[in-house]
Formats: sequence, structure tokens, C-alpha cells
Amino acid sequence: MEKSFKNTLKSRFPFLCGKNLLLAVSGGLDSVALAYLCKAAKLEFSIAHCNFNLRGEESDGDEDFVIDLADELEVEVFVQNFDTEAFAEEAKISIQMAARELRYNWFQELSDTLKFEYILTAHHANDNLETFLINLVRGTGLEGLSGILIENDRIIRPMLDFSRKEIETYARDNSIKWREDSSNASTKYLRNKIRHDVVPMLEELNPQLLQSFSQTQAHLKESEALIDDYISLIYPKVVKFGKFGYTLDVEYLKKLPNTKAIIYQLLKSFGFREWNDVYNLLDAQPGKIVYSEDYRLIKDRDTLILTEINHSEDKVYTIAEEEDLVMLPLGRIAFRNVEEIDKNRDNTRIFVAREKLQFPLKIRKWKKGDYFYPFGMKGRKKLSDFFKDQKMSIPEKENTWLLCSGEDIVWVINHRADDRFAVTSEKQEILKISCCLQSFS
Amino acid sequence: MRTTKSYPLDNPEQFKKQLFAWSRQFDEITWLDSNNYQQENSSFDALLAVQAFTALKTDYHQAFDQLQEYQETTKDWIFGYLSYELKNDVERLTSKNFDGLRFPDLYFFQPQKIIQVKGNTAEFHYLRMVDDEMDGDFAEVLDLEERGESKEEGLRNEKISPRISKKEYLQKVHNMLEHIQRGDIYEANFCQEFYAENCQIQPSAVFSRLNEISGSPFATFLKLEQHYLLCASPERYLKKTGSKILSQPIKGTARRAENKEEDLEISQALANDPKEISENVMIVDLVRNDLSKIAKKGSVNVDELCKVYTFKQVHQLISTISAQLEDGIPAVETLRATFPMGSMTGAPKISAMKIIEELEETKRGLYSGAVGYFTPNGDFDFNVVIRSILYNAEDRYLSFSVGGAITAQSNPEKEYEECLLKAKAMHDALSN
Repeated sequence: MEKSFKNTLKSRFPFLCGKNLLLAVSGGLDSVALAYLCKAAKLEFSIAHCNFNLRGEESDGDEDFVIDLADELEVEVFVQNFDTEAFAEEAKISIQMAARELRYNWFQELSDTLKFEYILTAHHANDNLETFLINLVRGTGLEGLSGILIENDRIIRPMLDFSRKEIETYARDNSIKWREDSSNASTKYLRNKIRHDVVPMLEELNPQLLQSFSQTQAHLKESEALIDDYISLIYPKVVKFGKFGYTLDVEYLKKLPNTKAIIYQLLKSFGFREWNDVYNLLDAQPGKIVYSEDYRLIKDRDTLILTEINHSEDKVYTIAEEEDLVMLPLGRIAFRNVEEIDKNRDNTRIFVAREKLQFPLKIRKWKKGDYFYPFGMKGRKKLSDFFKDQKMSIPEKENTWLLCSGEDIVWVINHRADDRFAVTSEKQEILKISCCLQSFS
Repeated sequence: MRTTKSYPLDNPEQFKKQLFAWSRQFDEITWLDSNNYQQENSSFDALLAVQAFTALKTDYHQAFDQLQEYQETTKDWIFGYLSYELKNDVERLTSKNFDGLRFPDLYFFQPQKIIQVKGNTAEFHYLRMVDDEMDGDFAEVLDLEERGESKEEGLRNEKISPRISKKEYLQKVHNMLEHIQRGDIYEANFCQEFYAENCQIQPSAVFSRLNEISGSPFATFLKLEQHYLLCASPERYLKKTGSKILSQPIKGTARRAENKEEDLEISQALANDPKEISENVMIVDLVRNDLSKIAKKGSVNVDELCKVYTFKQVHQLISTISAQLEDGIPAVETLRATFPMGSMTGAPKISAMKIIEELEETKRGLYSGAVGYFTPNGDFDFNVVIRSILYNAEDRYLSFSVGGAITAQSNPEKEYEECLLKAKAMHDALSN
């Protein structure tokens, strides 16, 4: 094993020699073996150990063990304690995900501040197989099956071609001690279930399982690259970046073969789970929406609009009587007394009777149930109906601002004035309100 | 006293971006970016100075004396600013107008680290105490990935308001015109402030956008403690090289057009516009007068008069006036004799400053002052702080001022519209 490890270094990672390396060591078999292998290969490395404090005294035992190991190997050691459960709670993620996140963040930090050029981890071929099976069970796309990379940015996994058995044999032959993780022995997690129950059965069916599996994954990776190439070819034809986010051309999508697969590839990074709902949007009524955690996909007339969900609350701006100009994120709004009404049709300004306004005025977004009296029409109209008549998309509606006097709408800004505030007599003081919308770039 | 080392660059444009991003970790930052304007008088493409070793921070009382002492004893690169309020040190003036920004009147620092980008080379000038960090810093800069723009960078929910209403503005310009008719002044620069309270911005991101919109040759990002200047200035105030001094006032602006022919027509019209030319010439006279106080007899020369320079957003009339410095005049004395610059005051200068003080409502502070640097041998280069956003991160107060020169031919309504047009660039940079 020592020899083939050195060969792997020589053939695939010749650049590691003489570099400042950081080794992630938990105290378990794989990482301890990696530490000995690196020492034998005369690499210059330091050890980093995370204490996730998940198993009480046992965790502290791991920590002591790793410190002793560093002593024995005569390398520097960094130890960090984490309150994993609190972090998982706060970030609303699983404990395993929290541990992974904390671990990688800290490694990055270490390598940034202490100038480690590469981080080495002890992932091996069995880990890869297990991940594959976990994803398979849970449901995934090609990217969940093609496996982790042996080299990803600054993270190197030099043992990815070795099996757990090889590593264990190496450790036993060299009387290397390691810490048995008590959660390893139980079948507490899905991974352990697969490790202890499923993989042995598969190996019974095919003793060369790991080799054939590695070939399979190589093919999957190639296919994945092929798909990426195809998607980057059609991307500019299907996707446009507009005022409110990305838009996808529905007609074009439908004309392409494998529409569903293309939609999946285009949208997979936006966290959607209900893929059938997403596909059904193509033929849905305008206005239909599918949500993910942070995004929503809206069916408009000929397009799908992908926008971010706005979690922040919308602001109400107040404008005092003496203010004649305000600059808001939506644009610049000016108030001027004028002598006469300009008859040219122009949506960017209105003329109202000043005496009818109740200051301070408010500017806000629309909400359900809003209604107004469209200028030049008899009677009142729900804003939602007005938007429908104007054939406005959902993001357009959401980005429409209202100028209000008290609760009454004075102006659906840059769309339509309200009749109630119109100038009706020559004696009335005329106030011109204009809005120069902020240009979106 | 400094160790200098040069590094070749594969991609200077990207390096500039990385370098600016890298600078964010420091408390004192001056970033000067000439945005690739290959002017005759430029000495670098970008210059970064960070981390104060020593500093001078003071109000206007004897500020120039203190600066002179600091500059002459330090004998090193120093970076910083002169605020408009130093006028009170030069002349018997005061300022009682409102000041929401609360910047010190003068602030200079001697940086530990200076990095200069010119062409395909980065030159590191480090103080000895940190010169072992050069290789590491260079590698760190190259390693930096350009940050993705975060969403919370601009003003999200804040309202920007003018300090004075349009009515007041028009009234004040009328008052100024009366002063002109009475003969108190020929010309004065009148400004108004726009401000936002309780706001939070990501200054470096807003600066990047402002700089992208304007791309001006004297762009500056300055951070001193909680004080930030985000400046897209096109104008040089004063440069000293050996005994040569040079001033390049701007007066006269015209918009750009999409259409090439129309754009050319506009620039030609600007070159021949009598109102714009007279504005510019009045300031040139004033600068000649200022420079003659410290120049060798007969050496003041107008190298270029009202030449049209074209920028990303506008065409401008720029004049270049140069002189030979009289023997034995200290570098700082050159600034004292000419500060504040004519293009931001008026003619005659003292009278104009008094009238400005009386009619404006906001203390100008760093706005219409100057940012720049001294080299170890006493050369210097300073810009005019205009087209700038100023921000006090501690008070969460943000402000920008815009203005224009008022002459007898000014139309108040048009001047007001021009102010709004200038304010728009700042508003655009601040809005997401």
C-alpha cells in the first residue's frame, strides 16, 4: 500500500512535494493511515483536528489521541472545538451537514491564514461508493452519482483509489493504532447501514465491485461533461436576463428534444424539488408558480420567469408637504406647482388638485384588496383586475409602487392616476407629480 | 527608507480589481485610479496606499503649518485630503453651516504599504518593517477571487432628500445673480446637498459601480477610520513635479450622444459656447493669479485654453495652466497659496467664498476639497473632490453634493436641472 500510495503521489500529484500541506485527521482508521502514509512519503504537512463535541468524553479522547499522534509523527497540530448541535440548530441543517460545513470552513480559514497550499482528506473508494448509493436511494441526478473529485480546487483526496480493506490491512501490518468511532459501529446513519449491510452483499455478487464501480463513475463523469457542453450551447438561445430575473423561452424549450432533461439541467441549482410541477408549468395558465426555498418559477405568457423570493419586508416611504423632491430606490419623484395641465399623454407624471391630498403622502407596494378609481373611468376597480387588463407579469405587479393619500391611492406610479384627485375646478392649485424611474442595469 | 520591488503582471486590469478587493482589510486606504486615461501628466495607472504608520489629523486651525511640518519631517510618501474648510486657515473666514458628515478638516497618513500599477508592472514600496511581506502580499492579491456582488451593497430602503427645496434653490441662485449684478463677484460655484440618514452601504461596492458609470481619470476611494470618500472626479487641482506646477480646472460640461456624428457636434458646440468659455476663462484668470503668488516671475503660462476632453458620461472644457515654482518655496506653501481651487469657489475668490457660505446650507467639508499625495521629495498631485459620495459609517450618514458655476448668464431653472442630472449618477450608483 505504501508503495502504491507513493506511486499515486508521483503520477497524479507530483506538485505536492515540498508544499505546505494540511491533513484533516479525525483519529479514525482512514485519516490516521493517511497521516502515516504522508510521513512515509516525506511530505511536509500539519494536522488539523475538529472536535465536534457530539460524543462527550469520547470526543475529547479523539482529540488527545490526535495530539499524541502529531507528537509521534513530529508534525504541527491544530485543534478546534465546535458546538455542532447549536450550529445545526441555528442553521437549520442536519448534524452531519453542520459538521461538514464547520469542518470545511475551518480548514479554509486555516489554509488562508496559515498559508497551507493544499488540504488532504482521507476519502477512499468505499466512501465514494457509499455516497453513490445514498444518493441513489434518496433520488438524484447524474451529478449525485458521478462521485467526488480526486482533486477539487485546493482539496486533494489521494486515497480515493484505495479500498477500506487495503487501508485497514496497511494499518494492521504496521501496527498503527486508531480510534474506533462508536457511531461507526452502530447503524445510526444511512451511510453506516449501506456500509455494513448493503455493500457486503454487492461485493458478494461481484468481488471486483470497486473496480467496475470506478469505471462506471468514469463514464458518468464523461457523460456529465457532455451534458454541460450541450447546455452551454443552448443556454443563450433559451435564457435571457431581464429586469426581474431570468426568463426562459417556453416555445423554444418545447421545440427542443428532451425538454424535461433540459429544464432539469437549467434549473437544478435553484433548489426545486417538485420537478413534475416544474415541467407542468410549461403548459400552465399564466400566473402559476412553483416555489423552491429561495426561488420561484413563474409562468408568464410565453416565458418562465425565475426570480428570487424577496424575504425582506417592503418599505413604506412618507413624504411631507414641504418636500418637493425625493430620491427613492424606485426612482426620483418630484412635486411641482404648475399653472396648467399638460394635455400630452405621458404615464410618468400626473396632475392633481393639491387641496384634495392629505399629507404626509405615502409610497408603498400594492397589497391584496387594494382598489382605486382609474382616471377617466366611472367607478372603482380592484388593482388586481387593473393589472390583469394591463397584462402585467407577476414580478411587474410586485414592482409597481403606489402613491397614497391616507388609505386612498392617488397614483399607480407610471401606470394610471386616480380619478378622485383630479383637478376639477379652475380655482384649484395644480400639483404636478412626476416620477423618473430608476433605470435597471 | 522604503524597499521597492517590481512584479510583472499578466493581466493588469484584473490585478487592479484584485488589489482593490485586497485593500478592504485595512483601516486606512487610499486608492487612486486613473481609469486608463493616458494623459500626458499621469504618473501611474493606479496607486494604493494602506495601513497608517504615522498620521496627521486636525481641524483647520494652523492646518497648513502642521501639514508642512508633517510633510517635511516625514520625508516619505503621505496620502490624505484637504477639506474645503481649510479656507478658514488661509483667509479670515468661518463656517457655521450644517455638517452631518463630521470629517476631520485635514487628514494625512504615511502608509506602510504602497502598491503602484503602471502598464504591465506592479511596484511595491514597503516600509522596511513590513518589506518581508511583499512576496506574500503579491501572491495573496493574485489569489483573490473577485467577489461576487452582494445584494445588500447599496441603499435598499433609504430615501435620499435634498437639503433645500427647489424653491429655495431658485431663490438662492437669484440672490447670487443679484450679487453678480451689484459687482460683488463675477462668478461663484453654488452647491446643494443630497443626504440619507440611518443608512448602511457597502462602500467599496458602491465605489466600484460609481467608477464603472463614470470611469473618471481621478477616481479615488478613501477610507480613514469611519470616514469614506467614494469619488469619481474628472478634475485635477494641482500637481507639482520638481519645480513645475500644473493646474487643470474644468468649467463647461455637455452631454454625450449615442450617435457618433451628433456626439461630435455636441463637443464642437461646447468648444464654441460663449457662456461655457467665459466661465472657464474667468477661472483660468483666477488660477493664473493664484499661481503668480508662488511662481517665478513671468513663468505662469496657459498651456491649453478650453480644450474639449471627452469622458464616458460627458464632454468637458479643461484648461491647463503651468508655472515654475520660485526657489525656496515649500511644497505645502504651494497648496496654501492656491487653496481652495478657483473652480469650486469663484471670482474674486474671497468674496465668492463669503457669498457661498451665506447662501449654501451645508458645510462642504471634504466636498470641493482635494485628495492626493506627496512623494518623498516633495512632489505632489491632488484632485478636486466632486462627483463624490461621502459616508460616515459610524453615524450612518451619507451625503453627496452637486453644484455649478453661476455667472450673469445663468438661468436658475436650467442650473437646477443640471444639478439633478449630476445627482442622478450618484443615485444610480447607490440604487441596486
